[in-house]
Amino acid sequence: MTRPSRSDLENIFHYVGLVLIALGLCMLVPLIVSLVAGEWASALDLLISLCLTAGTGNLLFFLLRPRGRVTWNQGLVIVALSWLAAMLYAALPLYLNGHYASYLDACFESMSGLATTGLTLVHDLDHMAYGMNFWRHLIMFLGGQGIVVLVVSYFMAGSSAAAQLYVSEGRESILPNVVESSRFIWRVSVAYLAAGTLSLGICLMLEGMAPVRSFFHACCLFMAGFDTGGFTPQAQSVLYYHSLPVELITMAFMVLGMLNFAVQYEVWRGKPRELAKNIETRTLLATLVLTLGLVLGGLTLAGAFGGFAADLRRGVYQLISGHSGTGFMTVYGPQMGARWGELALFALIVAMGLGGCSCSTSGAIKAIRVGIMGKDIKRRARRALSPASAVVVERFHHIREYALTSDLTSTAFLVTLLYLGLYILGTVVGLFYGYSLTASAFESVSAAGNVGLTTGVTSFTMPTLLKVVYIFEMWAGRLEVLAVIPTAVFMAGLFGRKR
Amino acid sequence: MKKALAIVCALFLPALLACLSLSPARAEGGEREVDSGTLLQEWESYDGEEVIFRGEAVGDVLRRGEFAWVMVNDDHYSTRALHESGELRGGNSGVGVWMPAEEAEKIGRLGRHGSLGDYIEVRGTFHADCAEHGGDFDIHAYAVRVLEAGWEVDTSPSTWKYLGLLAAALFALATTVPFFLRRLEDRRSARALLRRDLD
Repeated sequence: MTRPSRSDLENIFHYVGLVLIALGLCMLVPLIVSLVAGEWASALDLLISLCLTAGTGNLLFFLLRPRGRVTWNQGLVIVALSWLAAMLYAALPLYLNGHYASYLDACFESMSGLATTGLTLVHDLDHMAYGMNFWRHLIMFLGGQGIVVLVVSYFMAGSSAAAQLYVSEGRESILPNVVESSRFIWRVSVAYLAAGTLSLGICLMLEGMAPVRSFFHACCLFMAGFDTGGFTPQAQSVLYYHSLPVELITMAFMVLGMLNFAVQYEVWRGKPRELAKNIETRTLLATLVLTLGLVLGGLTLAGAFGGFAADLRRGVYQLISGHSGTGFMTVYGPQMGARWGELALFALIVAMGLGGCSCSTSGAIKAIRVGIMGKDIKRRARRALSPASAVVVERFHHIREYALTSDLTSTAFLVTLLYLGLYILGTVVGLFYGYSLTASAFESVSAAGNVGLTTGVTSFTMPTLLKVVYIFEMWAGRLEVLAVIPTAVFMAGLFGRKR
Repeated sequence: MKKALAIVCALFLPALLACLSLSPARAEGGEREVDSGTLLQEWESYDGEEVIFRGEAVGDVLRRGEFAWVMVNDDHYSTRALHESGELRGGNSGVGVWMPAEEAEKIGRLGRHGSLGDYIEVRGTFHADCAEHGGDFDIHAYAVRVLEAGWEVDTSPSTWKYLGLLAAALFALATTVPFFLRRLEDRRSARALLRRDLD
């Protein structure tokens, strides 16, 4: 293993510093919320964290000057380390606020937020300060849109490293220029945020909530729903509202969040047929219908809610929540584990493991890879049935027409395999600690797929190693596993022989 | 015959008393006192039963016509505010209660940040999957009583946090100002060079 050169280190940590500066500046938003709400203790926690985060970022950014172009591997390591650094610093205000038993628990929460997972170790959420609760949801919004995308959008215009970092965070370019693409994603997200907060805020007011609290809850729920995160302002998740309209609106947020931004851009440009033609949306629809059938069948067999209307309402909501990788719940976690039956839980595990679309805020394997693998199986079947001299070409539509190549299929199979490995890792550790196979698999897939649904395994009493494994799964899952490999090589190289 | 009856009573009476002592406490009206943990674990034996549930009213009173939803938490923090005791005892737990709006009006203070909500007693029917509310896990209350009024919780920051802020601010200044000045100096010298070239 060769040790990274000085220029590698300077390039990498210079940009990690930039991400920390951006994260520190983002703490100004919840700070304003705290000041408006008159929460002085929270305001101090946020101010202390802001100074430490931006201060560390400044130190790295100004002391280390980038040398030469950022290489592909450096880009992957920058993104992976930026996410770890962001986890450590985003956890600071949470820990200082006193709602977490340890700094590790606060890190679990911040990684869960940044990776848009939604698993939580918070104590007494129902009495948490508005500013701090807003920070939990804001880190979800930042993570969902991509913290590196944020930096590329507004701090790196004209930099040669922008493209490397943008692609390394698992984004596809919507516009010819990556800076323009990043800015487009942020502009669309902020427009959706305004519209979503307004619509849900009005709905919550009609459902009996006071105006200020309505819009606070609406803004938090939008950030968590559209970014397929799953945190909620109250401990009872979406069940707290006991409202079908709230469930329908949050379901719309989740669907918007799980659809490919590039496809949404095409629809915005007046090409709605892209939705029907695109391989990803077609695959997503197919897996949704299939898993919904299994969930409803499972719920009926288990007699979970004593009636088809209730099965449909709870089943559809939890399935969309699981498939999109959000994790909003309209049932209690232990209730789901005990009463849903193995078939419905299995279908939910499959849906969580598949995830939403690429270039969205969803995690897990993603529909495009499932679609490509399906096409490859079809191509192989056609080839087997054709004469030996025949050339079989399979095509698919994703914004434009593509011919299926072995490069595409092997990458899809490789990433799927890596995700399956990640799912198995958490399951084995869960089994090691005595949890049942279903519970272990459910929680592991929920963490690695950045979903956030739980059957009750995730709690402040769970073993420390399991917390660390879930943090790793959330981080690796958000970076689509591939970025973890060069990062592991980089870290190992730090202790290797000199180049 | 009387002897045989006495033997049967002697054999079965202790068993009957043991069963009664194991079963949950029943109030005068026949309701069973219960907590949220028991409802989640033993939902089958309480489904459709009259229950008494006690806890802190938190969040909001979500009024829906003649009725309202109130979240009632019976966790550790329902009687001891986190910011007063500093004890971390896990997440919140409770049950959503559907109650007549006039009963909800008895609640004066709701549990939120800086406020411990009224500790209330709810009498009503428990539903593990409520047919009226699309399968909700809830209690339909017919009577609500405030057992203890809630109070304002002191959330003012401690002195060490001010000291921490001072240290963090000094760190941020130390890492920002020198570099900022150096960058200004670089720009000035670059401008001077440009001017000299133009002259």
